Amino acid sequence: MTQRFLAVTVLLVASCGLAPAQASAASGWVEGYIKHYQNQGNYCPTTRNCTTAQYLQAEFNTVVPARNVYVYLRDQNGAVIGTGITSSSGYYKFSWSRSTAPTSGSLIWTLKHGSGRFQIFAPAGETWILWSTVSSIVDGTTSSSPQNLGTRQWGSSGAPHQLTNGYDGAEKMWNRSLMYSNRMVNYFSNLDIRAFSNSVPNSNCSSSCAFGPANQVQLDANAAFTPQARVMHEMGHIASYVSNNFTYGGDYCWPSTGGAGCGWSFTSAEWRAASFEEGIATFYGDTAIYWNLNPQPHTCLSASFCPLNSFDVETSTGSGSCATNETRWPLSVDRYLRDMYDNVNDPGFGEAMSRPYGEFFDTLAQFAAGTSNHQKDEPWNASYTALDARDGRSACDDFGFNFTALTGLVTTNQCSNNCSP
Amino acid sequence: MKTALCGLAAFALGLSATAAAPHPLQRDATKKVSLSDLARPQFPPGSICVGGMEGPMAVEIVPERTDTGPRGESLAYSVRLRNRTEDPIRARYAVELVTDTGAVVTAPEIAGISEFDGGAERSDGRSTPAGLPDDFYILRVTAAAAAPSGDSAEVVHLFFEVRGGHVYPIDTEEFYARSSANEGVIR
Repeated sequence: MTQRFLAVTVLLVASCGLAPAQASAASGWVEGYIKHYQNQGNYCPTTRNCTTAQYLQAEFNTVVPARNVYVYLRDQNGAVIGTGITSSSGYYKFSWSRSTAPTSGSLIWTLKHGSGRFQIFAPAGETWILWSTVSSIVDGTTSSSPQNLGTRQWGSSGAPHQLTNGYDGAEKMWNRSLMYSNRMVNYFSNLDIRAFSNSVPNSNCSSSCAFGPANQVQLDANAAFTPQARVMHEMGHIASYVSNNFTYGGDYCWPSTGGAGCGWSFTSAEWRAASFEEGIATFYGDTAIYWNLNPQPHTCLSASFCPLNSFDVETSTGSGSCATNETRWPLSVDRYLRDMYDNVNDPGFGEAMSRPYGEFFDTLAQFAAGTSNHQKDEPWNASYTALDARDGRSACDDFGFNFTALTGLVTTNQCSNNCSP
Repeated sequence: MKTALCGLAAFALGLSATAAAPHPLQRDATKKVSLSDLARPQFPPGSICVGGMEGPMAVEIVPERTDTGPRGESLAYSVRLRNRTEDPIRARYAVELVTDTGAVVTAPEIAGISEFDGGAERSDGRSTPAGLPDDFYILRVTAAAAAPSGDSAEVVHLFFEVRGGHVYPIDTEEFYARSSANEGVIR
């Protein structure tokens, strides 16, 4: 056994609270709270019905816990001597050990999720370190009488911290959306989130990006305070990908093909493979904020709440009054999926479907491999050299088909009431 | 569950053991640890960028130049707004300047409401106060747009450092690595 491995093993055992007393000359316990200044938009405002909403206005512009994040104690030389994970209240308590008593140290956290679902890295892949000085580390403290390091806060009302807010958005996405799918519990892990830059290695996206094959998300320079349309949405793409790895065939230049620089919005007409993927990623993100009993779920790009002229996902246009090309809107896909998920019946349409959230991931897994109709790579030709069915892998036709195969239920009403996306 | 957490703890400790961690008390030292020797996921060639939605208005803060006057150096910059849509939109924005710890240097200045035809853009020239003391600063623009395709609100930042009286625009990474922003305070 090498010395280095031995050292790591001792630290590991100590961090698990199993170290015998004679294993180290100095040891102790620390406790405290990690908090940050919350400034993300997309909260449910007090002017709306916020039944089962997961992010309320009361949480906006206030100090909140840094939840479920790794926290480390370092000695005066920068070596990690103890590791813990914060609770939902930002509380941590963990042991540390060292060959000799440390003279001072620091408490750090690295935006690494406590159950390993994601970590936020710098654009080039370096680890962010958020730190706070600990002037003295007391030897001999115990689990029942730990050294209290107090409440340490990052960011303020004058300078909300972009990185901690980005972490908070990602944590909400996991803790209030994705973790309710067994498939995500099993397959969504170690996501590499790069923040915040419009350019990271191999990617230049000014509106954030997701790369399923690399298990990587890029958050653009302005993404910190708009979680619903950025970190939550991009994590939604990763969820879509890990549900059933597919070869993406989105083209954002409808009715043309293959052009460069074609963006999208909730109400832009898109080829259906693109509108479906954007719609389902948005749906997963929306669910992090609005659970199924909420009657007014909104979605938007906003550093505040979703304003009046944004999009109520529960609204359905109906089959007879759709705007031109509304059938191709990503918003129509979002609304179709919402109607399948929520417990709120659309006024006048009488749709009463309310399905378990996990089915929206399991249905993707239901897509068979291949490029034929209803298969996961339908937009591609058989040799995967060109797109030959840009309207393949769509919402009603293909997600609906596989949903029926999984559950035995049909989504005809949810489809037609939302302009048949 | 305990076993899983301990496994993750071992992984984290393993990372720390291989990385040269800087001392956190050194303000000018980098606060980040290079993990280039570790196997991070690499982008496969030909990956398709699945970009996020675009709001109706593009907002940028563009540093233009530094000016030197009797009170010292200042940063000239422009706030650029562009209507991404084909429809007319209305927009307004506010500019404020704070230090890396959130101390207010310039309270929010709110620009008037502007109307933009489809695709139109506008650039407003502005300048930071001259002679700011040495520190790290955040220039923050909060912009809101009202559009037929949906309203939006975004916050954009420009970071800069004043060192020895000279103004240096810096990127997000450098700001968080070198300023006091990543230092927590006891409450």
